[in-house]
Amino acid sequence: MVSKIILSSLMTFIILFFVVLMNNFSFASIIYAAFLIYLFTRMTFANPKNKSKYRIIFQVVFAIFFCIAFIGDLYEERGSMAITASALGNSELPFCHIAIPQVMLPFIITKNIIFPARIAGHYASVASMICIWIAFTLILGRGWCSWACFYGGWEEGFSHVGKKRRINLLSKNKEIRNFQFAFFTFIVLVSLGEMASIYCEWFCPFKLVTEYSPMDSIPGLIAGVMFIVLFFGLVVVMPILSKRRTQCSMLCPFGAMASLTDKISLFKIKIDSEKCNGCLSCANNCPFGSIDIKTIKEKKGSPEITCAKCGKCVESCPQKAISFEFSFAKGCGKHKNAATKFGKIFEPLVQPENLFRFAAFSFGVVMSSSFVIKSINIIFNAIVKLF
Amino acid sequence: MRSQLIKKSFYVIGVISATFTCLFGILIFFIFSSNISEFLKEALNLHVTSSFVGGNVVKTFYDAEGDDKGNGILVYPTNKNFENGALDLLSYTIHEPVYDAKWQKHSEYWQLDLKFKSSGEKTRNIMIYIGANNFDGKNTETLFDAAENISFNSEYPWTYALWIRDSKGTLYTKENEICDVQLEFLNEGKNVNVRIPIEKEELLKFYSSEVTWHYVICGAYSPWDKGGFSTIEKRKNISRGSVNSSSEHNQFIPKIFDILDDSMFIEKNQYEQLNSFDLKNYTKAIVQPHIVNMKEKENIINEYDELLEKVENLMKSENEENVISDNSKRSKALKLFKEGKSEEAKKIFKEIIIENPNDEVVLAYYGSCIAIEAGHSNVMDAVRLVNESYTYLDKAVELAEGKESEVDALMNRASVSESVPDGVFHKMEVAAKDYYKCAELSSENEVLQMYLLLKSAKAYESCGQKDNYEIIIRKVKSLIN
Repeated sequence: MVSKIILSSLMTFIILFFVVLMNNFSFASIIYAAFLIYLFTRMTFANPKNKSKYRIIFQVVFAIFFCIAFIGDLYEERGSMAITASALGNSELPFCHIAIPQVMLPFIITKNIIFPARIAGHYASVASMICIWIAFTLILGRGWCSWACFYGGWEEGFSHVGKKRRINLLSKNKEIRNFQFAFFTFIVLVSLGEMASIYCEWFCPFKLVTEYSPMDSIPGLIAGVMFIVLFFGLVVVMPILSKRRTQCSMLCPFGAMASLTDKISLFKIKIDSEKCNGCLSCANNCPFGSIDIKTIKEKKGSPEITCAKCGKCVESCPQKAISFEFSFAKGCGKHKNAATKFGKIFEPLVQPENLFRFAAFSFGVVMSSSFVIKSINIIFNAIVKLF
Repeated sequence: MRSQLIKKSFYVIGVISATFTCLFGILIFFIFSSNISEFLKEALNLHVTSSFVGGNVVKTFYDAEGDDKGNGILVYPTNKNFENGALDLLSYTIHEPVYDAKWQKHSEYWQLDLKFKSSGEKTRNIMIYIGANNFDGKNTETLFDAAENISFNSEYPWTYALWIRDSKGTLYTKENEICDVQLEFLNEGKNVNVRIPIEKEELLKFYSSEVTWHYVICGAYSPWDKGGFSTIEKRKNISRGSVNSSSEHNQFIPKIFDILDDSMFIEKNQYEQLNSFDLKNYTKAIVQPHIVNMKEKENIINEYDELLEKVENLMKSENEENVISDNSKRSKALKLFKEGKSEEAKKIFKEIIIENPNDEVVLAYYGSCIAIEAGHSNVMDAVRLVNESYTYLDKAVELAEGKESEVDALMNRASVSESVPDGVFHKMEVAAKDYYKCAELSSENEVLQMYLLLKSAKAYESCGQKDNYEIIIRKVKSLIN
């Protein structure tokens, strides 16, 4: 209880600092801060079976409000969502994390960033995004996809629209994973060969809710059709039918890269093979398809490489066989419970699951603070204009 | 047993580090994220592929500010669209021709950038005449006869003429129209980026030019006059350009308000060039080219420290201490502030503000006092105090506009903006602009003006506006010389 109060108080402090104070005590910032404090406190005190509900709410809000703010910004600056020649010529396109795997190899070879984005001094600049990515990777690994990705919320939301799963992709997990890595390799190599961010140019479905190249030429039109089809196919329809994050687990090159670099992060998910009874509840609930029938049968002890640490398997396991663990805990023997009263009070504070949630939520809070407030203002202004 | 103990210790250290990182590390990371990303940018030497931004810069020429008077006697048309400084060319940048550019309208292009003091793309008539060692043009007269009233150095004839008017650009040879060029008007039309598509076979020779020369000419646009150059007449209050009423008017005066004339590369200044017409022999004024070695890359000016030292030495030799003589509350507070006793000064400023909430000088200094207090406070209070200080500083600047106290108000806001972390408050550009305006207002004191210009340049550099930094550094250099 004490540790939960400490965690909630600390988070309240972070929220007040980054959301309220940094936004000069604006009305919108107070509303958003109240929402965040409520969400985190509920998540912290909630029954372990219900915790991920709050993560989903947070990520969906983050994704939708991010897009509202982003599109609002674009209309303010350019009058449309289409990329203009002056934005290109001035290198002012916002840089997002999905471009990182595409620009890395060309940067190593040519020392140039093959994306016309601002280099530094802006929230969506190359340096700031790389900086955030490095910090996140070191601490939370692929947890980015389930906590801080400002696109992931779309799929997260749509995957919870339907009550019943219409398509079960469990048996295709491995193939989907293989396809993602093959596609990642293809994107990285073609980006290097072409010296252009190929995924951003042709495949990214989120152009529909952010910005896109003007469709005034045949290639522009083809790219336009592709991102519309991919958005409705992989971000809307497939998640509704399969209750999975299909774009994230099938196409996203950043997701594939984050899976490869996840090993260096502080946290991992552990499956206790002794407790596991093979009910496959975890595999059925995993939105990233990271637990296969084989994973459980062969008692691998952890999910597959694409695990995004969303925690759904942890809460769905009836045997409580799945838990968050420190990556460096291997070989340290079984964890002993605190012996003293003082230790018992503070023990939950250093539990990997609590620390992971706290860190991931902090990232989300800071990253979402300016976007969400801007969106709230846009919505308020629209309502005021309407009436 | 021993290895188990080592493992256990490693685990305990790991847990402590992880706990600290998760609970406080992220907070600290985001507070310093702008510094970390700046460091990352410098350490990795990050920059965007040049084909997105016009190709590598070969050369930037700078033209003096305020020389938009043609041969020295021209005044702007009175039409309200002609904003003061709209025809005042500040710089001209030549890039390397680009090939295989991605995401661009033209994958092969050559970019030239022009920068003007004020916006006004609809009012400018720009002609850029270009020659090169591998071009065969022999033209020394203007593209349109009797348009600008000038001719060109016969040693450097032009082959291509680029005509930019009314937001449209076209490339010509003397005989033919070649193609339309892509224009981008940035920074409210102050910057004009020209992209000449060079996919055509006859233009591919741009890639192999070793030396090119450029004549950049800017006039007032009039759709009814030859070549778009508005006629110059000796009359006042007309919508066309006119000759200053006290000057003598003749038909040989070039219909040009500004030409590119970088004093570091051209011997004759603009006025000498545009007055070089000969009434007796009926010869027009001859304009000189700017010659560029296309194979050499530009060295970025890095003389800030040297210049600052020179200016500071000049400032030391001038005794500019203002002695505050009267005994009013205001003077007392100002004296305390200048002595570094900002806390005491703040109390008195507060009292004065209660009596007179519109005293802009007091508001400005009170804002600075709050910002100084922020510097000694914890992070939470510091952010709140800095935000509070800006309510006073902004109000002071607003109230002081056009008054004698404007410099005081601007200086206070500039120094606060320069001191607060840019990553958090994004105020460095405000500092740069305020220092620049202060410099403009301090034209009577040249040393102070140079100092303020240098401060402005540094602030511009800090917020990534390298071209503004270079223009101001050049300006300071010319003032020192």
